[in-house]
Amino acid sequence: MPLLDIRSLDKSFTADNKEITVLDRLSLSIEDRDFVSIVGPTGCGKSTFLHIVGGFESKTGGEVRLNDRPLDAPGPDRGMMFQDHSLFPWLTALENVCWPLEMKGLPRAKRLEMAREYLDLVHLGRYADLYPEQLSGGMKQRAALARLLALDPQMFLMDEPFGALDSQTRELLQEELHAIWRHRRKTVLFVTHDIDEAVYLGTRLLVFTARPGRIKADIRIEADERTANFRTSPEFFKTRTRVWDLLREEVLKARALEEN
Amino acid sequence: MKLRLTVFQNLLVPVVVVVCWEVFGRLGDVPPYLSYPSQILAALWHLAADGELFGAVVVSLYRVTAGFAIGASAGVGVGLAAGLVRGVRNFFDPLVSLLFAVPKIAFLPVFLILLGIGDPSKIGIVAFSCFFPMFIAARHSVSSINKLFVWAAQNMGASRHTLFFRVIIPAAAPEIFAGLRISLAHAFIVLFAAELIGSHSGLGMLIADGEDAARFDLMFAAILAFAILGFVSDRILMAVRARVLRGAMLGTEEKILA
Ligand SMILES: Nc1ncnc2c1ncn2[C@@H]1O[C@H](COP(=O)(O)OP(=O)(O)OP(=O)(O)O)[C@@H](O)[C@H]1O
Ligand SMILES: [Mg+2]
Repeated sequence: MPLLDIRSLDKSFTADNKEITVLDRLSLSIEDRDFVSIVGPTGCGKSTFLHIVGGFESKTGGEVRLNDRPLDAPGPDRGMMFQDHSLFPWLTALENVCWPLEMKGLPRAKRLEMAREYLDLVHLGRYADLYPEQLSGGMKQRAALARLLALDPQMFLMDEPFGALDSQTRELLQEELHAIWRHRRKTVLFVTHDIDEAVYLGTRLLVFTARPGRIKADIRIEADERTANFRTSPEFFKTRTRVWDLLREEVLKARALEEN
Repeated sequence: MKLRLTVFQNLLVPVVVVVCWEVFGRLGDVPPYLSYPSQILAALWHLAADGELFGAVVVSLYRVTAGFAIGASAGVGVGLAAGLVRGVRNFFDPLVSLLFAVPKIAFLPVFLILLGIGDPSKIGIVAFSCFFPMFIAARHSVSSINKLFVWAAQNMGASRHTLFFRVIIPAAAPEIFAGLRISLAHAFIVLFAAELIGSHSGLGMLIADGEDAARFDLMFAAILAFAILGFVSDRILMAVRARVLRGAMLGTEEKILA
């Protein structure tokens, strides 16, 4: 039985009395411990898809089941890292990371200790007492990642989590995320525009079509070992080129859609 | 250096106005009903010395504080409820739109008839006029909350209670403080008018008395006292806000244009 089972999921929004279909009969099963990378042209519904799995946004039609139960509300079993930063601006970075720990009922001293560890993990220890407004875009993303790690959900829903990072920090955090996924046995849905990142991290890679979003390709990436070697292997380049070609078609379609 | 420049910019216009006023006042070039600064200060000193000023200030301050407390809390409460609950919103929105632009002092006769000439009618009309700007600020503070904050909190397992007190309220706080500030100004404005028109005590009455007796120095002295009270209470509110909001205030306000 798959962990997450999605059957002909539909989603449309109405804006200015016009209905736009964002997801169209999307079906997908995700097994426990999958690392699913999702790429697709801008505006194709990737964020919307994660919001529905997170239980934040309602679906228009179809079925979404988690552990064989219909999914309809947010919950700490599925931790979301939003595309736009969602840290609470009235709290410091440290207090933000403490929040999920407090919700779990941990005592104060323990919360602070753990929150500091998570901030250190994302190299933000020195900035613990700054407010989000005082952090750079990349620092905000890292603080949000620390908050997600503190929540420690079974399923990670990550929407372009490393988009604002420099490439060195990005690689370090990719390795960190890979290690966490591997050792703590998580399931990850990971949206990105960076094909290298998608291939490096994913055990599965979904290519979404231009809006309305459907799954154009579902690629398995077998390599077990995700070290620096993998980034230069023939397997890596083969997959990367394939994804590039698939994505290119859709990006062109999306652009044509925008121009009409 | 930067600070000195700011102080200079802050004070330039008032100082020039006061100096010109004084000079032309002494030369007899301004009409007597304008009085002039040193005369006004002397009158203020006189009022203060015989205790009349203190008594009037206490009365007005009591009315403003009580009215503001009642009206602003009602405005925050009902405004938040309207922002969160559609039913409450449907009930209050048209009512507030209808009454917001009406000068609240127009209702003074009603308050005088219902509550008499003393404190209750003044407190009542101050509360009444504080309610509207506060309601509007609180109501919109809720509808403008970034939904990601709510989603993130729900994601981390927040209960409804936690969501309200730990997310909605802090997220709404900057706009609530903006509303409080406007309410406070409205409180002083309407109290001034109410005491001027229908009162046996308070600073406004002192002003009316000065006017009736053609003692314009007394009139301006009382106006000055009013201005000082308004200024000081606004500064206190801003100081409280700076403490309460800390992080949430960063990147807003002056910084946008400075
Ligand atoms: N609340 C909403 N109301 C109306 N339309 C919406 C809403 N949210 C999203 N959309 C529309 O749905 C489509 C998909 O949006 P979504 O954010 O899921 O795209 P995305 O794939 O995440 O894009 P990107 O890669 O740029 O983040 C877009 O055309 C967008 O305009
Ligand atoms: Mg998106």
